[in-house]
Order: sequence, then C-alpha cells, then structure tokens
Amino acid sequence: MLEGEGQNYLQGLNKIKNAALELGLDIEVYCPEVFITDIVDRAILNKEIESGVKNESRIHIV
Amino acid sequence: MAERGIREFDAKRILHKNWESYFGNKLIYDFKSLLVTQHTNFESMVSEYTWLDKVPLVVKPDMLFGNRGKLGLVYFKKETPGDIFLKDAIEWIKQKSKQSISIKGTKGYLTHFLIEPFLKHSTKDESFVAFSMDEDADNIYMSAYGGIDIEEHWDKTTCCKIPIFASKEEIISIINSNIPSEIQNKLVYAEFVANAYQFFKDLHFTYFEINPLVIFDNRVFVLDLVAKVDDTAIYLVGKKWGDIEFTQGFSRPLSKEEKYIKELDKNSGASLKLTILNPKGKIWLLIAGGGASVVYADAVANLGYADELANYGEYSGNPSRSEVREYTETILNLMTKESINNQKKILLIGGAIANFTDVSKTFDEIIDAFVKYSEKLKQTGVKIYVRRGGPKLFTRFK
Amino acid sequence: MNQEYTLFDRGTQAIFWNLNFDAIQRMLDYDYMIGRNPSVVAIVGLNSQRNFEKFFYGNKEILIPIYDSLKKASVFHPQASVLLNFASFRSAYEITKEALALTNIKVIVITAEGVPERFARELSIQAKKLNKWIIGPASVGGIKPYAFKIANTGGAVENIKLAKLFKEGSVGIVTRSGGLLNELFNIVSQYADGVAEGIAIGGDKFPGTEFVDHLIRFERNPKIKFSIMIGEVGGKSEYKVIEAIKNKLITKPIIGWCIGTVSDYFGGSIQFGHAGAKADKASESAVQKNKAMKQAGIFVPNGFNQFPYLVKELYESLTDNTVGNSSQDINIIDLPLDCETLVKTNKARKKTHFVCTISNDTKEEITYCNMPITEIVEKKYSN
Repeated sequence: MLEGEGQNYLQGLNKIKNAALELGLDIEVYCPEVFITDIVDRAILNKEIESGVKNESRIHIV
Repeated sequence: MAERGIREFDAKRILHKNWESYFGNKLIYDFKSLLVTQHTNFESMVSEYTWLDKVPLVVKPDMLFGNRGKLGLVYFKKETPGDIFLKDAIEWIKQKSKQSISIKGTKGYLTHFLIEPFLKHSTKDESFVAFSMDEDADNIYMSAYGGIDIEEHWDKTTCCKIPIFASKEEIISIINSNIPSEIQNKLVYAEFVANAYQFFKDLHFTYFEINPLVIFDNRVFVLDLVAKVDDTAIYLVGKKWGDIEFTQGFSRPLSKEEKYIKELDKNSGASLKLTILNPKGKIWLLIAGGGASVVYADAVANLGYADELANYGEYSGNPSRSEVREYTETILNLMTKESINNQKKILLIGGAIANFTDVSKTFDEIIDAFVKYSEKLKQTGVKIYVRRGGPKLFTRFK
Repeated sequence: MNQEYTLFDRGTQAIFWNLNFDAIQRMLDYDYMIGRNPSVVAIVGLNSQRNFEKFFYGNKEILIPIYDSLKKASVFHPQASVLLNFASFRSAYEITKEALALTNIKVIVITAEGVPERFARELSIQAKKLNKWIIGPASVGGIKPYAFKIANTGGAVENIKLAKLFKEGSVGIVTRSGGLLNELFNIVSQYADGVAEGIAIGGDKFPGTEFVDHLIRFERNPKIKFSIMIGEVGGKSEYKVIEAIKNKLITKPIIGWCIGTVSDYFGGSIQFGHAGAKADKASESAVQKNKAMKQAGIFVPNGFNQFPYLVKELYESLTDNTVGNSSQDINIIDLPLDCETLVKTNKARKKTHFVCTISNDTKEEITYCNMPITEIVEKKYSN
C-alpha cells in the first residue's frame, strides 16, 4: 500500500466533519466501509455501528 | 424520465396536428376541444371557438386521472343528455374548482377542464381501441363495446400482438384478421385502427386509448382519449408533438420548495427530486442516487418510522455546485422551520459509493450550506449523520 | 454465444466510442494493476483533431488510435469484441445498431440515459436474435475481476482495492443501479470471497439484457457459487427469474431484493426512485415482488441492511470456509502516483518546462513587460 493513502482516503469525509464541528454542529461521519443503511439504525435506534464480521478493524468513525 | 401521461387535450391536439399525414382526407377529425384553466377568459374564447356558445357541450376535468364518468365528473346533462350550454358549463367549472376532492387517497383541486361539443349518439355506436407496448411486441386492443363499462365487456375485446419488425402489410393483415365481428363498419374501423397504430408508433406514444370511439360515415369522434408518451423522444418528434405541457396531473398542491426543486430539475442535466411527505417529520434525507435514496427511505420505513419520514428525494448525475447548494439549503431551511419538543431532528446525508460523481465537490457545497444554516440547525436541534464514498474523496484522481 | 457463460476474460479488447478521457484512463489503470495488456485498443471520436490520444499505462505513456468511424476501428482491430458505447442519447441507438451488424462485436455497453424506449426495445430484440449482449442503456457497465473492467465501474482505485475487485471471487451480482452495484461489491468482499462478475443492467424499462439473462450465465459458470440480484419497483424482470427457477434453468442459490418497499407505506401514490420505476400493477410493487421471490426459494432479506448477514450465512453454508480465512490475496501492481498529487503533498518537486521573461504570473496580478494586465486592458494596448 502506498504511504499516506489512508489519509487521502479520509480527507473528504474529514473535511465535512471538521467544518461541522467548527460550526458547533452535532455530527457523525462514516466511511464507505460502513454499511449503507447502518447510519439509519444508528440515527433512529442509537445502535452502535458494528465492525462487521471480521476482526480486523475496517470501520472508521471519523 | 420516460413514460409520461399527457392531457387529453394535448393528445387530441397532436392527433389533429398530424391527422393528414396519417389519415389523409378520407377520414375527417373535427378537433373541437377547448382546454380551460384558471386563467381562461370565456368572452375572448367565444370569438375564437365559434362553436362554443352555439352547441350543447360536454365538460370534464383534464388532469390525467381516469374513471371520470364513474366519479360523476363528466357533465353532459341537467335533465336530458345534451342540455348543457356554455353558461352551465362555466357555472359547473366554477363550482367544481372551488371544492377540494379526493381521488385514490390524494386530496387536491381541479384546475384544468376540457370543453367539447356534445355528440348525440347511442351506446351501440361506441367502440374502443387501444395500443400499448410490451417488451416483445406492441398490443392492439379492439372492441365493439366501448364506453364506461368496457371492463365488464372485456371478454369481447380482441387483443393482437404486432411484432416489432412487422411490415405495414403484415400489420394491416393482423388487424384485419382480428377485427371483432360485432364492429359495425369494419372497413372504416380497420383503416382507422391501422393508421392510428402507425401514428402511435411513429410519435413514440407508449399508451393510447380511445374510449369511446364513434365513427359516423367517414367522420371520427374521439370522445375520450388517454395517452402517454415517452418523453425521451422529444428530440426526435418534439416538433410533431408541438407544445406539450408535461404535468403531474391531479395531485396534492406542491409546496413552494417542491416547485422550486422541480424547476431546478427541469433546467438541469442532472437529476434533483424532492417530495415532502410530512413537514413535521423528524427524519430528513439528503441522499445522492436514484437507487440509494430508495434504500434509505426503505430502511427508515422498515424500522417503523415511515410517519416520521419528512421527505423523499435524491440528487444524482453529477449536479453542478450551485445545484447541490440550492438543494441542500432547501432541505436545511425546511427542517429548521420549527423544532420538536425535547427531541432532536435527524439529517441523513448518504448515498451509495459513487462511480463517477465528484463527491468532494458535493461536500464543499453542503459545508457552505451548513455555514449559512449553522445557527438554525443548532436552535432546532439537528443531529447529522454522514456516510458516502466515491471518486475524489480519494484524492488520487485528478 | 449461448454456450459461453462469460462475456469477458483477460484478453478482452474493447473499442471506446467517445473520447472519455477519465473513464479510459481508469480502465488502463485497472489493466495495469492486474497485469494485463491495455483493454482499450481503439477510440471512436468524430471531431477529434488528432488520430491518437496519450494515456498512462503504469508509468509509461501509450498511444491509443482514434478513428472517425466505428467501422474503421473494427476493421483495424478485428479482435475487439466489446463496444463501450459512450455516445449521447441522441446517437446511442444508431451506433448500437451499427455495432450489432459488425461480426466481431459481441458485447455492447450503452451508458446514455434517455434512449427512447421504443429504440431500446428494438435493440434488445435484435441483439438477442444475433446472440449478442447489450448491457444498458443507462448502465455504468460491470466488471469481471482480474479480467476486464468497464469504464467507471467500481469507482475510484481505492474503492476497487477496498472491495477486492482485483481478485476473482465466487459471487455473481446483477443490479439495476450502478451505485448499489458498488455497495454490493463492498459487502461481498467483506462477507464472502469476492465478486466473480458484477453487472448493472441499467434503470430503463427495456434493458438490453435482464436479470434472468445474466443469472443463467452465472448458472453455467463453475466459478460462481451463488448470485445476488437487486431489482426495483415496476416491470416483470424478477418474475422471469422466478420462472427460470421453476423451469430449473437456474438452480444455484440467489439472494434477491427489490428496493422500494417504502412505497406501500404511502399508498403507492408517491414516486420513489427512478422515473421509470413505477408499478403499473399490484404485482409490480416491491413488497409483492419480494414475497414472490421468497416463495420461489430465493433468499430474501427483511430489509437491505440484512444483506451482509445473508451473504455471510449463504457463503459459509456453501463452502467450508469461514469468511476471512478463504482469501489468498493476490499481488497487485501499485499504480504510480501522478506528479501533481506528489507535488501537492510535498513529496516531489518538478522543474518548470520553460521560463517566460516577458510575462509574470507569480504575483497577485499578471504583468506583461512589468505592466499589470488591467492597465493594458484599460489603456487598450491589447488591440
């Protein structure tokens, strides 16, 4: 893997998170590894986002 | 877009506009129809439509919904059929426009009406013809028993399939061998059907139904017409269609914001859709993609929160910066109009992993909208959840 | 073509209609990373000034010839079997018709949205007569990992890596939406051993090929253990799959789902999703289709969010593998970074190509012979 790729990968999502936090908004941002509708369960049922079936930590909560 | 219903008036206007090219002058279609809107000035209409104040009339709403006869919305008699004149028609339209009505669960107002001369005829004069598209062929439906009870006589309707690559001769022979035996003037009826089918096909209609159809000698009376066109064909046959107004038809009145997004969508190469389901709802969607937006709405409903779903909508097809901005601001504005006691509102910003839409650009505009609405978002108590991926989030691509 | 179960392999060559620089570059990047020869061998561009275009293949630049007609391109590249038709909705029909008449072209991908339905239907029927395959209209395309990637399918390189689209797996996927195809790639990479082939048939009413056509192909592909399909409200496509299961044309397990169940909560009066996604009959609603699929023995989740679990369960029941243990990762060749990216991240520097001593744009305003450009305009020296 190329050096610094992880950073590049998160840049766009980081941008929106940082902007929102700076404005004092209440926000949670998730990467595409998080299942598409998991944020619906998270938002409505306050369910923790699971890290999937694998042990490796693939889920990033920014 | 794709298949779109059009007004009966427009369908008849198109039929008349192209009449000579398809029907020649052996058959005659006297196009006498007037579309009445809230802005119609009857006094000036009388000089233009000279028949208007001279003959008995029929009036009905022209808003893309069916079963008007059964709904009691075809006005052709007070006591005996054919005793409606202009004064009565205007009065009826006025009265019907005032009260809200409910059709298939949708509440709204009648705004468009069609006025035509009343044709004296008996039910045995009423025939039926319809064309539709299937994936392997076109269908032609023919019946000698037209009118509002067509469904009850459906067993007497013949259906024939026209293969896609059929020649003109083949089409005519298929039609001729399927004409229902009860049809009175088979020759004229068959000729009309063959020509009308060609018209249907060439002008990219996807559905076309005349019921009832009345033919006296060589004069054709199209008493009721339902039609849909494939609006993607506008670049091919737009001229032959003339000026069609694509309308939603009868629907609940659109809100200011829905109208605004509709207008944006109309003038854009991208797709921007917004439907407000419950303005007091807790859950708001700002989702990219025609597929993903449905998945999100499904997920909310699936958890039992359909009542709390405030809106449905989507943006896709790489919208411009200003379009994303306007779209986002519209949603933020709507959701911050009032707050819910002790409860946070939820804004879901999501989408599938994009194939080529520039997500970073989209996010910049959403951020700008956040800046503009930050105070309101805080006051209302909005919690934002974001999940998205796609090109240029990964900055490797230029 | 009937006997063939796969449309692409590592030798598949394509003609690209329209000089869509980004999409072609992405294909070549993918080719390079999986170690195959460039898959795009010719471009058809009507108004091109040049008869070639430069692209990167790894860190080398290659020239791909540009022709002014499809016929010419196919004469010079008779081994090309795929046409990637990136023409607009105005010309997509004519070009596809032309391609159907060329014997070497076996697969045509149409990306344009808004091809008239009557035309799309005609193309579909004509192609089937000729035993050719149309994917689309309004499709992002598809991918056969470790062999051939159509244009933008899979999104950015990072997502392609994330979803392990470099490695051939054992799941066949067919969807309408391109975005959801990507989502499934991701799921299948996490919860099974990856994708064998993924196709988006597009959202139109009359797609060139349908779910059932591809699922029957998947049935014949010994590499594929099970399939996934995602449908939409409207049309009969899902019922054809059910029919094929009844007729034993499809025996491999399928996970199926039709999006748009929300529609039922609103009495069907609200348009959810693509404009073409409309239920004309009750049987065409998402809820009814899901019910019918379940009855036919298709694995139907309770909602889209159940997909990962269902995929995992099915995969594990069909193989002795536990998810995560099965993957022997293959080596992919890393793509060199673009110079601009490196410069931006301060990891490289680049010499300037030439120096202009007359004008200067290093300050706030451009100067020309030391005079600001606004002054030149104001004083009308520019005439």
